[in-house]
Amino acid sequence: MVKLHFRLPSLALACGLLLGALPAGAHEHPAATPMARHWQERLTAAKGSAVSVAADEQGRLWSVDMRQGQLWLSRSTDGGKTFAEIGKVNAQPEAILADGQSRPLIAVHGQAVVVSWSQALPKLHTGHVRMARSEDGGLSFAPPVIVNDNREEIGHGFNAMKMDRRGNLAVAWLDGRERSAAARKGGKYAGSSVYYATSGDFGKTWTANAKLADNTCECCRIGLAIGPDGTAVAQWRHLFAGGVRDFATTALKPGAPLQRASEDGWEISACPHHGGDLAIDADGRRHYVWFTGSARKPGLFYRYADGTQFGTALAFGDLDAQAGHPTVFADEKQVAVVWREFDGQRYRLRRMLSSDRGETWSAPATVAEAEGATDLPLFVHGAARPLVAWGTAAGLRIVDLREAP
Amino acid sequence: MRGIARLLAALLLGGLAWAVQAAEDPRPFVVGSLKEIQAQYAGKPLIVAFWSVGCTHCPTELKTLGALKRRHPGLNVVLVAADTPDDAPQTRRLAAQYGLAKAPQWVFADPIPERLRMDIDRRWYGELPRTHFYDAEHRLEAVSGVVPEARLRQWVAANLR
Repeated sequence: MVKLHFRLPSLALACGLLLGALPAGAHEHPAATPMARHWQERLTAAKGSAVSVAADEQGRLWSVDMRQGQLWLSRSTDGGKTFAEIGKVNAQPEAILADGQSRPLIAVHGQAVVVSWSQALPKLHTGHVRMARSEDGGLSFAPPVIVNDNREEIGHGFNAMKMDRRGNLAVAWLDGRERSAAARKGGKYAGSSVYYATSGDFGKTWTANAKLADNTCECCRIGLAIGPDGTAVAQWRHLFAGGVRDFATTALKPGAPLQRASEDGWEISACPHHGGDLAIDADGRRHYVWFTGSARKPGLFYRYADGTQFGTALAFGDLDAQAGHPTVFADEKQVAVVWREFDGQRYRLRRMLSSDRGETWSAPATVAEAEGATDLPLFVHGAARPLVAWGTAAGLRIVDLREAP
Repeated sequence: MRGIARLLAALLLGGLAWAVQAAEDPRPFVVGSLKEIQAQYAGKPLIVAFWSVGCTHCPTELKTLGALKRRHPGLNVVLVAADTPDDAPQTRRLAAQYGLAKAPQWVFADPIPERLRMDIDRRWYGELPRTHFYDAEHRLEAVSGVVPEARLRQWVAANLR
């Protein structure tokens, strides 16, 4: 059983990961500021509180979790009831971010195991996007590489990674290089930017880094999915005019136009640390879920999109029960949405289901509950069934929505 | 000479401020703490500023609050850090840097922040900074994100007489 350690979560912890500049006490040596000390503590955390789980083509489940600066790979052959440790991903320990919106990521197909994570650098809120690959089912890994080709000691992190069964693999992350370049010229740059790289051979070879978008929120995880045509699509919290932090989306290919994915109008001078999620069904319909704190209509929302046509946003979740952190799954006709609520005593996972590609939805129901601190729920990457991975104080839980009440 | 005297005075005051800080660790904020804070300031306007050590947007607002507090010593500001009791030394140091060393300080002391947020405001989903403005009747106005300086000044002008 993979045990998770929860440090008391602090929402704004890494808000500045991509700012690349010290907002307070900038005249001091970075390590001397309380903020920097806090960062150092986080990057030397004994155990991560955020894990990832991926399914291989046989339906076996693979998890990665961080302990003492090393990522540990485990595998389950019983649908997630028990996990057996396979070994370490990175031989040399390093500062790995594994909490909240930053988690190690995994993709598995055949003997290929690809793991990506954010390595924290000593300077406040800086890091590198890392990747390690195994060709023997995780028994051994090649030494980790740095994915971001900009190697400044600035923010590169909050990476997302997805892979399909044909070997299309995509990594997208928040990158501070545009902000850094603007600062060097004495200019200002709002927020961060999204960069990405893709592979067509299960991660053996990669395209060069490419920019997906300018002016994004600095610390919300990116939603990422690969469509039936092998093209990846990303969803992120964007910085629109007037300080509005709503969602945007586009495909990871040159020249793809940025589309606005939500019209919430959430004007906020802060980063909410609340990213969304995205799934693409077998016919290419994109299914989006997200959170907004917009005064007009706060809460969780779902909508689908076909090409440039976006459906109506559907509100879900109990606003008075801290409903948040939604995740979405889609296959041929089925769409499943899961989110987390808190009832005053314990966390509960709530779900709603659609069997007509998001046109109509079941009533929400509780599929799991947990005492103590918990991780954010996420659908198991690459699973053919709607399996939810949820880190709890009692260990990693896999909830199969087709078996849940 | 006057410069030296000022420097000495500043050092002395700084030392005193440090001594006061050292004596008053941030108090653990649990379910019920907000009610306690409100009761303490019953009938008085109050700003409760929720923030955290790692929140990069927070210093802007806290520095403004620090400056306002210097200009209006009667302004009641209470700081609540959404961190952990382990972070208390850092929250104390940062508050001092923002000119808020004397503001009462609290720090989240619950492994489940949702439990505290439900007690504070069910409709707060954790965005920081988060500012609670209470007028003399303690009617609440809650704002997520950095509150612009003009708005803070306006509130002070309207509520502090």
